[in-house]
Amino acid sequence: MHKSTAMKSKKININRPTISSDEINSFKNFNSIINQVKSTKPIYKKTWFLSTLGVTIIAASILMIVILNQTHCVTVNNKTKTQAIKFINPPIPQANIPYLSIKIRNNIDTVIQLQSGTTIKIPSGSIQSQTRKAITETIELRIREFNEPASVFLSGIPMQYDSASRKYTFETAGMIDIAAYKNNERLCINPQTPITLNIVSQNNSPEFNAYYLDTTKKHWQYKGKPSINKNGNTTTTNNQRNEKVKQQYNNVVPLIAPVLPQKANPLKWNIKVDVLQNEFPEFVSYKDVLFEVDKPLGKDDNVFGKTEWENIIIEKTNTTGLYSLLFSKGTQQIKYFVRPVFEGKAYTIAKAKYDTAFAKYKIALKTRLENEAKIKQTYESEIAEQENLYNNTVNRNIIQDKIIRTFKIQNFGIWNCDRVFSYSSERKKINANFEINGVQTNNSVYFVDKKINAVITMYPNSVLYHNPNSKEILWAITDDFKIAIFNSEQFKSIPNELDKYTFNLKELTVKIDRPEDFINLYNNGFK
Amino acid sequence: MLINHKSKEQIESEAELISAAQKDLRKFEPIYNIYFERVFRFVYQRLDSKEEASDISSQVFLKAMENIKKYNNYGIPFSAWLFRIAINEMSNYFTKQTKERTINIDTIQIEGILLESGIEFENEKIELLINSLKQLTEGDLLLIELRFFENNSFKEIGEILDITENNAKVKTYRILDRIKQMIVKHA
Repeated sequence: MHKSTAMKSKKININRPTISSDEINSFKNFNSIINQVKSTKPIYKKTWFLSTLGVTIIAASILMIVILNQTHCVTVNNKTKTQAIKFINPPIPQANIPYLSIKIRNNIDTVIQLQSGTTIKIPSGSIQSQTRKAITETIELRIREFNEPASVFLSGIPMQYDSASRKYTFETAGMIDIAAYKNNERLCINPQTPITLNIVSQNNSPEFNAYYLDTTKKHWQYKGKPSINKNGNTTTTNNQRNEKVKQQYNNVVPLIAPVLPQKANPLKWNIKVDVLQNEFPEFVSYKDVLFEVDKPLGKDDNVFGKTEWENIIIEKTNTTGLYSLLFSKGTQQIKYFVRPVFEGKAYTIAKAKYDTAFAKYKIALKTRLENEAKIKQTYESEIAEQENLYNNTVNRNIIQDKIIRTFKIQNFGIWNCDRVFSYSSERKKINANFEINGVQTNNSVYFVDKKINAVITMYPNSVLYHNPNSKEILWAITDDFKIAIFNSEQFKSIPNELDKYTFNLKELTVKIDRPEDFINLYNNGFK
Repeated sequence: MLINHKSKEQIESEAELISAAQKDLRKFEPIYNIYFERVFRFVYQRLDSKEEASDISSQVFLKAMENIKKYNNYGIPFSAWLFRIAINEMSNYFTKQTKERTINIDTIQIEGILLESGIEFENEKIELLINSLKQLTEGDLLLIELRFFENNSFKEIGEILDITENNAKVKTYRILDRIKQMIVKHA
């Protein structure tokens, strides 16, 4: 494979769904491999093993004594070995964006509207256990939404992607972290009934794509282009309910009332047609039905009687008891409006059958109405329960003058509407170094231009793309979780001619205990 | 990424595991557990079938266990040695089978290659890039995959392919130049 030879054929898959770690692990089978390895003499029978056994036992005993006397050191070393920087690493742990916990019933359609106006449409039965089993009980959704740089920053979700060691930063038009649990067991989405996200933003650019954060491979996966709607109506719950009730009713076998037989009018003419009973079940119990034409016999009707018609179509009209009969042969057609009637003895038999059928129909109708009332009551109570479950935690706003990006998801996790962030050429490049209270720092520094919905992480000797006409802020988190800032007024004082600059960030005395503390500071320009 | 950066402690810990496995193959299991997912993903990246990826991954570990005594950790990292075995197994598989070689690529990776080639990312360039990837030799494609799809450093690529870091870099940029020429020619 590593030889430079041209290959026969190659198949290209773009954006193939990522296989999960759980699925990969299901293929693991160490025992099968070890059984295949060429059988060798068992280790306990080897001469060197027996000869060194005694020495090993002595050495192990000495080692155990040493370990038992140095338990503390071993513990510390193990801790060091397992330490690693988390992929999602909230910079101020106590101010991480909390999850909103919402309880829903999985057996009915649910629409959740978040404070921003973003909606999540969860079809009935769309949530399953990890083993793909249906779940009918109440489940817990945990949701977080990030719409602006402050909350994105606090989440610690990486907004960069690495390609060939080059880092690109994402600008977001809305990001959601969503998961479902039952008894703290993580659930998954039924791929047959994906969940729809309608993410609200104010940026109407068509450049934003949907991305999923693969925390195993540690990168963002492109998931297509969301559809964009302006002022999308996000309050469709009532319509959805009516539709749902209608669907439930349609599941009941439809009741067909028998047609009251009519006597033929001796002054009118009629046509005999064999009706397919499965198409018109109201005639099912009647024999010898005739179709009385609703107009006098005319000259044209002579042609009708002499023609051997190839096709006859019978249809109901909007008038009760009135049908249309369309006769055709090639391009020749003739249409009559007709009523089903009976003559003589056939009428007497039909009327008797009608009386029996109608009595049965009345009983069936009563049962049907009772069933419908039960279905309606159950459904309404489920809806009421659903509303109670999440109305207390979610503010249901009506969206106005905002852009809604819609896409379907088949995995729980972090979903984002992003575009690759790029600076316009009008910006000034500054080789930046950073200090906190006059002392050089190697901590990460975060740069935000308020015109762009992105947080750019900077390091010593990074290039900062400065726009003198924009409102820009730099901040850093000190080792004791305090904030140091370089505010927009200080940016205005940077001399135009400089291409190198040391940004001296001032530590604030304010303590950050909750996400609101940071978000309020950010919104007020850290004043 | 195929080969993650390892701390000194992690390297020492891995060396202990390898040493134990060299003495008793049953002790190979912790190594198998560490590397199975990465080897599987590497193989599956080049195939359509999960089952075949599982079979080839098993073959990789079988070979690794049969040859573990020959592995010398003073030469190349264990992971690079393991992925050399994986590459050879894939090569054998495609030689013996008539199955299609698969290239699995994300839009982000397409963007990455285009940006690195100095080509502006546009929808019509995606198809041209895909066509140019199809025309690459297996060796060239492997370099592009290791660098852009699996995000290895040139040092890691060098270790896997048994070439110098600089050679890996020069070869990769020559391939990117060729890709650029193919795209520009047809744009």
